[in-house]
Amino acid sequence: MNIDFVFKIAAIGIIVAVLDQVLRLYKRDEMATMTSLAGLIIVLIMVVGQIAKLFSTIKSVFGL
Amino acid sequence: MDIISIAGIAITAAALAVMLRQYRHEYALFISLAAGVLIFAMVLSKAQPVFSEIRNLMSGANVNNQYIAILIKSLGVCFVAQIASDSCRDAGESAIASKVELAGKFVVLILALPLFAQVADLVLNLMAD
Repeated sequence: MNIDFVFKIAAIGIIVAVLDQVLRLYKRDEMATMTSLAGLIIVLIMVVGQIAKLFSTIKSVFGL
Repeated sequence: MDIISIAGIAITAAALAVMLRQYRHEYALFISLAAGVLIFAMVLSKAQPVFSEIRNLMSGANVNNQYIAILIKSLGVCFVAQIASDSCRDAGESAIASKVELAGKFVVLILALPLFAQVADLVLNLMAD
């Protein structure tokens, strides 16, 4: 894991923000909501995977 | 672990989080969480020799190995609780953050409870003499 991970999250955030604004412009409010929800879930899964990795490292280092 | 690269990661993540907060503020939380996990993993990957050195020093000083295990375990519990409570506080949920801190304090207390029992035994032995 490196800084690319942070950039990936930022890129997903920007794409979702742009899609949200475009879809709201064309009066597709429900699709805009779904898009932002999907982006949020994707980012959440990515971050949760990394947190699980960190916690297993902590478990092995500190002997928890 | 290079302090320059850690500083770069921190400043970049902070800039991205500030930029994204005005459009979608939930992504700012994830960026700060990811940057925190990244920096912590970098620190932890270099911290292994420190712990083995502490263990060596303490075994040289004839300190019981069990005490060192409890010490390092409580340090780990503190780190995990700190990460969780900091990200909750960043998200604006200071009530959940303080509950996580409370849980961390209790877990450390439970870890240290055998030591308290041993200190109490020592004191009772001294009083009996």
